[in-house]
Amino acid sequence: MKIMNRRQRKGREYEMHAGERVLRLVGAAAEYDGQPVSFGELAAFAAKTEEFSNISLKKIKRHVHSLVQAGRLVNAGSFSGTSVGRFLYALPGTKVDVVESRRIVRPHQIVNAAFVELWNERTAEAENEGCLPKPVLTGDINRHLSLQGHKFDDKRTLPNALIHLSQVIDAPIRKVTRPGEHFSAWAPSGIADAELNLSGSFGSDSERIKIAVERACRRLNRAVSKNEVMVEFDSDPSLTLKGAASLSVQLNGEAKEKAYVGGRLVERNFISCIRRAGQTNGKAFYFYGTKEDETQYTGYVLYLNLKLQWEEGCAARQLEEIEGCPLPTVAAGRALLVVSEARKISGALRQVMCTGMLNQETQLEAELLGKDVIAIIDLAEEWIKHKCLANLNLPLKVSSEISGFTSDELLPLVQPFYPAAKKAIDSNKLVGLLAGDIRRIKNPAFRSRFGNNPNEAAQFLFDRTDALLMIAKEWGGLECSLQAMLAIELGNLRDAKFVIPALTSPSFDVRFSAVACLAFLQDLEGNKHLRECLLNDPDPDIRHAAVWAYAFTQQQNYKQLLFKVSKSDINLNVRKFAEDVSEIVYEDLWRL
Amino acid sequence: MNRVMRRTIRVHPGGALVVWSGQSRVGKTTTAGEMIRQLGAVYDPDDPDAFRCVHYQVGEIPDWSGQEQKRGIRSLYHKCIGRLDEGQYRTLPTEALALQLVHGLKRKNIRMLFIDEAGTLSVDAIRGMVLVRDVAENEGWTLSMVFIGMDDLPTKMCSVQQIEKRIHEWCYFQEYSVTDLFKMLQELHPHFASLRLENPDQLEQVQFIHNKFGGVPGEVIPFLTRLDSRTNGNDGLINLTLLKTVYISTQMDKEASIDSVTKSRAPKSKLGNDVPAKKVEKVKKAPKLKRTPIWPIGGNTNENNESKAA
Repeated sequence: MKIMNRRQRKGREYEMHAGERVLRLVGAAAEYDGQPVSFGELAAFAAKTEEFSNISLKKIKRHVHSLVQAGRLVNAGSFSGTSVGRFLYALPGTKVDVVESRRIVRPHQIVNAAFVELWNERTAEAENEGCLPKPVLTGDINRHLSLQGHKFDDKRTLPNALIHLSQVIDAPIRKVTRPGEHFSAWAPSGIADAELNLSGSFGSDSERIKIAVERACRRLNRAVSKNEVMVEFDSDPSLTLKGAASLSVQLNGEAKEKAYVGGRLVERNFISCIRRAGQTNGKAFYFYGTKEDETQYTGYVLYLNLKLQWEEGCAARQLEEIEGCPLPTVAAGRALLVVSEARKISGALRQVMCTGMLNQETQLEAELLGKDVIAIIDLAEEWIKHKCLANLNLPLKVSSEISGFTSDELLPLVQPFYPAAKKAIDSNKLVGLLAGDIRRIKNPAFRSRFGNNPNEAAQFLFDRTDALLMIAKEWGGLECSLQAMLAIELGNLRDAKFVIPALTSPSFDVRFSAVACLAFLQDLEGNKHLRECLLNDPDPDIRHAAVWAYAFTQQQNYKQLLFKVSKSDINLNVRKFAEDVSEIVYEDLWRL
Repeated sequence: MNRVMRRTIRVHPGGALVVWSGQSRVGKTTTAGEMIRQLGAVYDPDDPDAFRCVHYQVGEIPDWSGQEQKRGIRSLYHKCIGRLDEGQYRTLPTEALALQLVHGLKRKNIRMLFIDEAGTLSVDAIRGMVLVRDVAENEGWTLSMVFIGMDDLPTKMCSVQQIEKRIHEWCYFQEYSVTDLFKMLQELHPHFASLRLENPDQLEQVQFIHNKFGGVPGEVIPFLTRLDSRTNGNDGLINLTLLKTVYISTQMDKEASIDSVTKSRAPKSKLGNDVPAKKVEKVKKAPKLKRTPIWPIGGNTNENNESKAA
């Protein structure tokens, strides 16, 4: 090529009309590629050809449009899903089809070639096995292309190319419609459905999971967990997942009610799909069906939740412990609590059973559980009647309200003692660290996990008394640990009304334990009685214990009261202990 | 009883390990109960020298059952303080558990523990309990432990030097002599209160009871109850014959019931007839350990004088 200097080039440019140059560019590019070219390809061709390198992209774009409108260029077709342009341009009268193709550049051509290769493989395999060939799935072509090193920038290119290939005149492939299947399969246009093996061909992992969930639901006649779906995968090798994501992740993704499509969060509008039936003990349950089927499947999860609630309550163990509880009033409260909780569960269980939401097997299980619950209610009521609790002047009803800590509130309490929590900057990590050690209760104020208010964002709270007891037992000093040991007699009882009467018991041991219980309950009414006990109990050992307990409740002006005790108590040990406690900070109370 | 109580109290100020042994029903548990009652009666919470005592019957902790020291400490904890958290029991080392227990004892002002049926404990469990006393000593807390058991307890305590050498006092509960038994009977029953030992007929009644029950108060008292039920409170009817009748009627029933059990367990012949019971081999009794008296028995010792005075 003749090398021109800048001046020459400029002079020539002036000579030629810019449009003419673009026309020449299109002609040269089309000749080079042997087929119509897109705008992106024109730009790429211009950049690598010296003759056209000085034409800006803006100019090419403007002139191409003008030339098409003037009829000097023709729009030879359109194509979507590529980054190199949508419309294809050629000079009028160019015999595109007869031009020998020097290279395949069109995505649909790449896809077509891959499809042909795959189809040939399939037919060969089918001949060997003596059966009909299976249609080619989009995923199969994608994998085949990946192996060949082709990678489209846009993941929509492959399906678009397949659709294009199936819609053009003399289409080389056709879409194989499979009733009930969401994912597309493809076959050559000349092959009818009767000549294809349509069984056991799944378009993607999503489709396999859907089938597995549907089968598991049909087998068990209820909502299914991940492990139950896994059984289906084990029994049918054709369901084996191809992707790297775990089954639980994929199940979770499939069951989402909203999904990101094109960067926007939209509601999924499938009529039948995998849906979430609920969750129990960290295990999610799914079903395959429509929204109308939901009630049929959620019944099982409701039953499981009730069963779990019953098991976590350990009512039978509670009753056993009540027998050995040294505080008769606390034992009474615990028995009443067992009855109250058991009645709630029994009622809910009856409701679930009556609505016909359970299958036959689960219905039987639920009936057995119901009998167990009623047996415990009878036992507890018998115990209450036998112990003549009327003489103890206790309230007839026990409160089941439990005050709780959010993770944010618990973290500063635990951090000074718990080595693992010292590193935890995020309070949410506490859930993993302490969930097994501290009882967690449902947060009645819960609204949304993504709310700004932490009190409303926490679905579960740590039981306050249980958390304090755990910290005291694990990391507390001797006094703190001793009082925690005595307070474990509370069990699940959180109603101070059942502890307060024990402070007036003639038994030293009962009063001693009651003081410890009130220290960890931290109830307003209980604190007042604790103060009374600190000032007026006849036994110095009780007053000594009440000094720590009252300081632990962190009442307003507790230091002033302890100062007063340190001056006025008749017992030297109590005076000295009150003085010591009034001088230390809250954190050191734990270590005492 | 009083003598043993005094001997135990005498070694308490330094914190002591005491062993009370003696055959069954000889009055060990009654003595412990009485001691607790007396100490409880004089307990004044504002008196710095006053203390609480705990008496309990310990359950069996067999040898080689695992974690016996911890189990021994847990047994004490459960009785003196309350339920020991399972997590704490598993995670804390033995000495830390002992320290927690001692702290609890301090807070409850418990300075004396009576561990009844200590013969059922393994040596390791006893060592765990002894560890508690040692920890208490280190913490400056006076704590005495009284191990109460039958004849096998001293053998167990002496089997390990670490325990044997820590024991401050040994008390052996002996059977009552005829004279002592007579005094006890006089206290317990109005019929015997009117008897005189100088009268040979009346002496014979006391000797009959002594011969049959060996001066063991735990066996004499049920006999007196049976006697009362037979006479319906009419003490004038009581004589040696009635005493023998009451004794024999129970004894005959006892032998008959044992015979019936032996027969029912005897193997039957093919014809269904009872096979003559084989002569039951007499189990050789283990030779009694020759007990060297730790304190002088009989004679005009100070101990006896004190007990008489009491």
